Amino acid sequence: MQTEHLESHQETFIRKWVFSLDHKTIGLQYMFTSLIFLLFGFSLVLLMRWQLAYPGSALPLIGSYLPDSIAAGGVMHPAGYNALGAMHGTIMIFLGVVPLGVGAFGNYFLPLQIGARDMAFPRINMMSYWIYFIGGVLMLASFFVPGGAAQSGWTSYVPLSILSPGQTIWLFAMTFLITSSLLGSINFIVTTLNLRAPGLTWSRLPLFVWAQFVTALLLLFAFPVLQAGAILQLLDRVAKTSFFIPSGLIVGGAPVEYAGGGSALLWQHLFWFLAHPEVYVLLLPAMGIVAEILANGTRKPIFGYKEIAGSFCFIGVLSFMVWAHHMFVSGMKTSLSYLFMTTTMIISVPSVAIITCFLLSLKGASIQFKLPMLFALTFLPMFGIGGLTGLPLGFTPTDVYLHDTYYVIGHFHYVVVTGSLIALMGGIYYWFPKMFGRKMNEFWGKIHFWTTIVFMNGIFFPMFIQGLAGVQRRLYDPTVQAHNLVVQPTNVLMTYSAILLMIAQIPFIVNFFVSIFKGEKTEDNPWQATTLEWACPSPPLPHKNFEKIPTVYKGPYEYNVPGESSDFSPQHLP
Amino acid sequence: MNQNYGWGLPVQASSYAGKLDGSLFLLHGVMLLIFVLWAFYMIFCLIRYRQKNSSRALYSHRTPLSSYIPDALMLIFEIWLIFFVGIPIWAHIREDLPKEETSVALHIVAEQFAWTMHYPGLDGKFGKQNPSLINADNPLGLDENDPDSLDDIVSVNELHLPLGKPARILLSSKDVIHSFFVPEFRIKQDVVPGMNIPIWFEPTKIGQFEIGCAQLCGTGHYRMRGDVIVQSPEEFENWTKSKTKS
Amino acid sequence: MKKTYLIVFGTLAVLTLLTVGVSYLHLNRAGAITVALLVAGIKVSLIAAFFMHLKFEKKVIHGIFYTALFFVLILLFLILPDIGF
Repeated sequence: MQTEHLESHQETFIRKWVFSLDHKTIGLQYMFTSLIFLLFGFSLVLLMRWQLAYPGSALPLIGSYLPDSIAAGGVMHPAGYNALGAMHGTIMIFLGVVPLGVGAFGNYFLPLQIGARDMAFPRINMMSYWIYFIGGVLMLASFFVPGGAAQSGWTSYVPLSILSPGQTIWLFAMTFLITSSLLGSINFIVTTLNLRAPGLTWSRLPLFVWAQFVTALLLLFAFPVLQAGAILQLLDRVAKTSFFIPSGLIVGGAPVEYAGGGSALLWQHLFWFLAHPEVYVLLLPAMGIVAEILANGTRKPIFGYKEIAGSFCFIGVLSFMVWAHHMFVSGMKTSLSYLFMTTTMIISVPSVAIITCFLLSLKGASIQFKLPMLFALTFLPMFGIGGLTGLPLGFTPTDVYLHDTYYVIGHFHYVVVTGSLIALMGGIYYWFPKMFGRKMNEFWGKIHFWTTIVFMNGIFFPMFIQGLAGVQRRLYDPTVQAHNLVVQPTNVLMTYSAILLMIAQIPFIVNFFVSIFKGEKTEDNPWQATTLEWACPSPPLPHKNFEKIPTVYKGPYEYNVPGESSDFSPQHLP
Repeated sequence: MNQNYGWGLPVQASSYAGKLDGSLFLLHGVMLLIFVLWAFYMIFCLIRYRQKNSSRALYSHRTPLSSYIPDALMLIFEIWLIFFVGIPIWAHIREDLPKEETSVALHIVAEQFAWTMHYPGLDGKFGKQNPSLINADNPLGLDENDPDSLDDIVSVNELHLPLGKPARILLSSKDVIHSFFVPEFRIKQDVVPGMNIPIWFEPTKIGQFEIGCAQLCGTGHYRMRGDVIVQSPEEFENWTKSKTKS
Repeated sequence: MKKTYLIVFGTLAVLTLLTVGVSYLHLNRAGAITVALLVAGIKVSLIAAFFMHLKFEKKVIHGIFYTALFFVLILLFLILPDIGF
């Protein structure tokens, strides 16, 4: 549905900023909400890190203000630690990074990059945001109900999750979040299929659109399985069914009031069938952003456009066949682990191909070290570390030792934080002029960049050392076990890095808000980029984006075309 | 400080620890090599191709076949790794269970938050268990009327094993999922309620090692620990005798 | 059009009665599962084809449907060894 008829009439404040149908406003809503959730999820981990560095000591400054479900008398207790751990994971993934990468950037820039006036279904788009919002509020509310928040990790392994307090609200909230993602993904798919500007063939799509399209398909195919799993777990909790409860459980010396006969491994299969594609949902939009920024910052066509787009698709398909590499030591059949080990190792090949293409894009380039480019360039080695450390985890003989240790935590934080999140931050700096018509301050941006990179590595690199020493994850007090003692000093280093990382975000937050109102005004295309989002005014026109729908004449990254005087050649100019 | 632990991997104390460490070193060596190659290439490009006053970037849509070399090398390496390293080692760990006669057979039952070792005793038979008999003194609910159970040895959080004899252990859980983890043996196996999962290892070093739980199992997850005590065969025999009810 | 829907509805009702009827035969486990899956499969196909309009849709929609079906089959076959039998 095109929305030209909506432009004329005057809109009320609520219609314009709260229940907006404009994909740009919805994108901004997603962006602000997810950034707040990211900050909140990060502050949860600061509490946990204090406990890890100084087990059993009172939390400074805020200890006495925390609810009883987390800390008693200013000292965190084990149930509180587990709740914080579960909520940190859930919030960061489902309420932070995915909504930022897909909900915010996807919503805002997918229609712009394909030259559409809006999403295919603006009302579903609005609904998707508000369902996400309800899910988020519900998730936060679970801290303040009796029993506290969910305590069984973001993976919610049964039977622990069914037997622990707090899980019911978690499941309800997850159901909302999944529904929101499904609505969003359908919208993205239909929009990409149907609303491309004239001349925008599949081989002329920007890589960001490719990434969003594959991501949407992943969400569409993977999330219903978790939806079903979450509802079954909910039934187990509230209706006392036994989908996941095996026979003969004895908890604390007394038999549980369940009929039994279920399977504990079934939940793990259902969960990881979603959650592995979910990893690529976290990663692909970030890779798309990196591709955009790299092409722009190197001033040349990106190397291996087809190879990258093909790798996105290949990763998408294969990511549905690797889920059980999270379960090598779960008691799964050995024959299955051979299969999953093979598919897991193979899925690293397209990732290597993407990194190789990005690196080869630098060859023969004319690199401009602008702020977004710094983030995109940093993505390469940092995601490299994250991806490479995935190899020993997908390889059974090494995974048996490293599984469920801090090595795993280090691995996925390198992928998601120094990889995805860094790229998403680069995306904010890159597209800020388009969203607000003003630029973010370059100096404070550089301060933010360098401090963030240093402190992130200060947190995550020691995790590999801990993991190799055998420190298990999710320990409230690692010093209880002898094999964790030697590497305990690294916990102090990590805690201070985390606190400093939080402080390093202050320049970003201030810069962000000050620049919205007072930043240096820019023209429509400040980076001299080629893709369609730069062909409309900054910020784009409400509800219609473009004065006139552009026609596309060439590929997305035509920089430095021989014989042309300017070093970039936008898609919409013949 | 304990001699078994340092800044790297803990000591190797089981027969297959060396093999697993070998693949850890191999893989990390390759990872380091790849990373260093990437990093050098990237740094070279960042310096060589930075924007200068009048330089223009190279316009090209060619994807030469040689750019697929890294992908192909990766694929070949991984296929070799899976079929010649991964599957043989994994099959050895998971499927080469030692024979009952030549091994120490026992059950380990996990619960929140303890490990209970159940040895069959001199008769080699495990006694019947009845959940309704479970109490603080009888964590497994052993049925005293069953003759097989009379000489069974039950030991909480203390796993005694003789040196040089493989241990064949059946893992089960009373309540939630736990994970049996002995860093020095490089063994980790989730203990899933409703399943009996066999594992094996052969201790190669006398000493005291640590059992940890590696799967979140509730509020006491962090303190769910036990000790493995590997003894000479004679000492193990003495321990068995001292524990057997006459 | 209306007539088609009514015919499909009738068929679904008959199949439901069939499921109930078969339960009186007390088939063995394998037989009962086979019959139940067969009946359910026919019902799902009818609902998807007519009530959900798949029969009258474009190729793209079919493509997405079959992709989803493919992934569901992967899920089913790869977890059966772990949880079934």
